[in-house]
Parts: sequence; C-alpha cells; structure tokens
Amino acid sequence: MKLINFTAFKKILYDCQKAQRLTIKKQESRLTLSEYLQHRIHLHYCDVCRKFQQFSAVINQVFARERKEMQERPTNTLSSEEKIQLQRQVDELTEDLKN
Amino acid sequence: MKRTLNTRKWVENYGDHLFSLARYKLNDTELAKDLIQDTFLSAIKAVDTFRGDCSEKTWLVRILNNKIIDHYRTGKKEIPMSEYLDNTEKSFSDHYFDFNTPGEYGHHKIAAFPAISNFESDVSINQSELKKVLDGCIGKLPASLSQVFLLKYVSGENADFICKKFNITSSNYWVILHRAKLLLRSCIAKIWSL
Repeated sequence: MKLINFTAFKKILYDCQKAQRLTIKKQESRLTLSEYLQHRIHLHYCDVCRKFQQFSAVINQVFARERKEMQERPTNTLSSEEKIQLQRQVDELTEDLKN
Repeated sequence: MKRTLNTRKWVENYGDHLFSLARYKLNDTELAKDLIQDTFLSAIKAVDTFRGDCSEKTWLVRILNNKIIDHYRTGKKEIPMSEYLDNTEKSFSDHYFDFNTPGEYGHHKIAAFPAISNFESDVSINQSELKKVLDGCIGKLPASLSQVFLLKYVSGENADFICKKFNITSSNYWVILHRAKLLLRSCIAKIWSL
C-alpha cells in the first residue's frame, strides 16, 4: 500500500469543495495524515478557502459562547402564576400516581 | 440505591432553568412552555427509573433534551437525510464549485464567494448584531440542514449522536455542515454588505 497518494495531492490543489469539507472536519474532529497534508497544501495556495476557514471558525465561536452563557445564567423566566399552575399539575399527577 | 425525588419543589428549583434552555433551543416561548410541562409530567411518570446516578437537574435536562429533539424530528416532513443529500448534491455543488473545467475539478466559483469585510475574527464584530443576522439566515436554511445545524450549534450535540439520530454516515455529516455554512456565508454576505 502506498503511504501517500500523489494523485490526490495534484487534485487537491484545485478542489475547493473537498478542502472546505476538510476544514469543517478539522474544526470538530481529527484529519488523517493524508487529509491533513492535502488541506494544508490547498489552503496555502487558496485565499478563498482560507477565508472560508475563518468564517467557519467565527460561527463556531459565536455559538460556543452562546452555549456557555446559557449554561451560566437563565435568561428567560416563567411568571409566578405560571409556576404555581405548573407546580399544581405536577402535584396532582404525583398524587394520582400514588393512589 | 434508589433515591426518592421531591417533586413538590420541582418548578421552583428547576422551572426557570429548563424554560430558558428550551426557549433558547426552540426560539419559541409558547412551545418552550409546552415542552417543559411535558418534561415534568413525563418525569413524574418515570420517577421509578431515576437511579440517582446523576442530579435531579441533570436528569430533567436530559428528558427535556429528548423532547426537543423529538420535536425537531416530528415537526419536519420526513425525507431520509441521505436521500435529500443525493437529490440536491449536483445543483448545490454546481452553484459554488466548478466541475467542468478539465484539470480544475472542484475549484470555487469566484462569484459565489463574495468577500465579507470584518469577518476574520469574532472580536471585531458586534455580537448582538451578528446574532440577529445569523438567526435570520438560519431561518432560511432548508429544514434538513437546519435540523442538523441547530442540534450541533445550539444544543451542542456531538457528531456521533447526530449521525445516529439521522441515520447518516460521518461523511454525510461533514457535507451537511459544509452546506449549511456555505448558505449562511452567502446569506450573511448579502446582508453584511448593505
């Protein structure tokens, strides 16, 4: 088995679709060695795909921050009437199930 | 070891947390209220299955998350994801990439990648403005893509989980996220440059 597929490297120089899919994969998981090298080479030459990579990273950051903020503090609350009503339903069902 | 749950304090202790989680993930106040009500009621019925290996709160959040996922799944018409991808593959790829020029297979079409200024790092961007634009653009994604996108980015689910949910391969999964981001990029470029 060949360790490195040279035809793949020639093709990757132009294949932005593949390079960008690798960007997506790289930002969330791990690339194989061959994928990693293909990705590196392509981005070295391709400005559009570098920009796409930045764009994708910004989106990731925005949502990561949002999720973190959500974990830390509730931003929406129920009114006290809603809470009382909801708790009443909970209590009723609890009683029903006991009997 | 089995623990007993004190349901009398549930709404007071966890109501707001569950509600704001649901509100955030669903972006719909009324629906969020319905689903947390469902969550509490299912939880009571399932009290016997609570083994005490996690906190009450974690357990309730887990039940709520399942409800939210079920909602996303049943709300949309069910085209199998792989079928959707196959059917739209060519027209989608052809919009962004060139597969006809010999020797340049897959090269980007320059018109499909307009520059977006100030988008190199998220620090330079007004967060709330960006979020507003993003939410609008996510709303325009095809349902198949937005389901996956929301599960990953809003709910924070991992790739394995999502692949199992939709019965797709991991390479399908990368393709879906790539498409979603391409569409978001086009949408943002349009609005950002105004």
